[in-house]
Amino acid sequence: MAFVKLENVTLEFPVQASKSDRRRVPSQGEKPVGGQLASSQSGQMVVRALDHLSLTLEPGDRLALLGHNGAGKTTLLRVMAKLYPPTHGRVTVQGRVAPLLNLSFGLDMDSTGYDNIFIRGLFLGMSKAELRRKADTIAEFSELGDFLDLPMRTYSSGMRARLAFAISTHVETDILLLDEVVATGDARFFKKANERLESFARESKILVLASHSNKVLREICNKALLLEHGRLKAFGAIDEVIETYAASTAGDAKA
Amino acid sequence: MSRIVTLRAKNGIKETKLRTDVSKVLEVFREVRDGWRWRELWMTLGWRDVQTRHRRSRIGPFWNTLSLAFVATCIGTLYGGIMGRPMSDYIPHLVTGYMIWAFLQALVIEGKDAFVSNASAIREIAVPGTVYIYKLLWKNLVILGFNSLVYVAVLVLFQVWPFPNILLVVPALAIVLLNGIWVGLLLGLINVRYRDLGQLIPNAMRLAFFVTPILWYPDSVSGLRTIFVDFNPFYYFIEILRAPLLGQAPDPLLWIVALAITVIGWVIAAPIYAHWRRRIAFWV
Repeated sequence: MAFVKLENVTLEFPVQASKSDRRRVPSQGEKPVGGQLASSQSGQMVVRALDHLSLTLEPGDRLALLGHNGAGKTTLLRVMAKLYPPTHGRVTVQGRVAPLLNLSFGLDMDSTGYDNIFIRGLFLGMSKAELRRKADTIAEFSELGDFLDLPMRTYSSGMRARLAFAISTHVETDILLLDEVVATGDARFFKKANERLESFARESKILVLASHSNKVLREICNKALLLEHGRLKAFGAIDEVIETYAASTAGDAKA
Repeated sequence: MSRIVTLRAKNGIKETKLRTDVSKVLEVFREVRDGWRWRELWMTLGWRDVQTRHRRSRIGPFWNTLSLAFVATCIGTLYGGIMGRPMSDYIPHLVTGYMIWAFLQALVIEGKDAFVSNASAIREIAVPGTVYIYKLLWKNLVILGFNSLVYVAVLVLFQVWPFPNILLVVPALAIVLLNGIWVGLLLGLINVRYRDLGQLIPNAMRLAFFVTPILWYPDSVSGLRTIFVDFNPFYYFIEILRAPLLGQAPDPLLWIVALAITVIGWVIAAPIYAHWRRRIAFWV
């Protein structure tokens, strides 16, 4: 049973070796970007990327992550992927996780697309035998055809996204974490990806997707989480949260 | 009374701290075990590393073999003459020693980059850290395999019969690999945080090559100079492999020192890695 639970999670990054000479203008009001900057006792800069965040996801949830640049969307995905241990609080993740955060990961630019199915698939925890069985399905889903026999460096970013997406969504997994990836594909692929993610959710798996495209989010997700400087600003049905977000950005623009 | 209570409380805190430390170290050994489950991944990646190093070349990984053959003929004839040793004695000594050195050196130099060079994977997916260590061990075992073709040729050429002592290569290699794991975990971790180590180690290793009995014989130094043999950890690992490859049984003392280094290395590396391994994803 897939299950994600965050209890009062705070995540602070120590930032090394960055003595800035820039003269700091005391910022007035809220910054439009980034997490919260603070200095620890030792004088080291600390970025608080997530601030007392609590959240529970249940099977079938398709969560959209909304927020300004640096609000903590990717960091939250990495916490769910168990890459970043939280500074405070507790993270419980049950089920297998397949992250798709970075398109260049697990893909070797000099190898063919077909070989890359195996490299990335093995990283995601599939066995070679399993991959041999699924390689054709993955190849077909990516619609790359004969391009799969060419080295990856000849691919466009959209083609790379297609392949990475195809591999990650064909893994036997319970929780899929996507970061602004689907948006790279064209309209036709987007439709296909959308269908794939919907069937994914029907099998009561969990999907978390970070994106700036409200259209993408509205079509794929049923819930949304709005982050602001690492704090939870709103959590609920997708349409309501998108409205809250739109209202807050409109307010900023006026002020 | 209250002092006793606080004292007890302090002891209690110490005990729980100790317990968490122990469980952290146990997690390291769990990682060592779990890494083995990912063998399909690291075997594929390691083998790919061997291939990509010689991409688009016609003879590919056999360049490893060829370059060792060059060393054997050139250095072998020159230094063998300088040191006044017969070729049938010096060339097998040089080829085995050089081949093992190349292996040990790669474990150290690539070990320090174990996490740095896999940064994009570490920031993307949570697999045991040992996967990256096993990958480089496997890669260098494959290269050692290609190099050993020269060794076999030398055996045939100079009619060295290594049996039955050559079987001792198996435990010797196991000891070397066990050391390779802790070296990779420790240096890999430190190098993620303090990149100066990455600059220091190749320099240190170049020096180590000349002060380790590879081009010369351990018994040709005397007096104070024996410290370069006796207090040189590389000597012990080279000798426990080189002796069986040449059909001799290594001295028991060599085994004891090599095992002692293994134990000490793990005792130092395991708690350090246990304490900081969760921060690697932040630092890479």
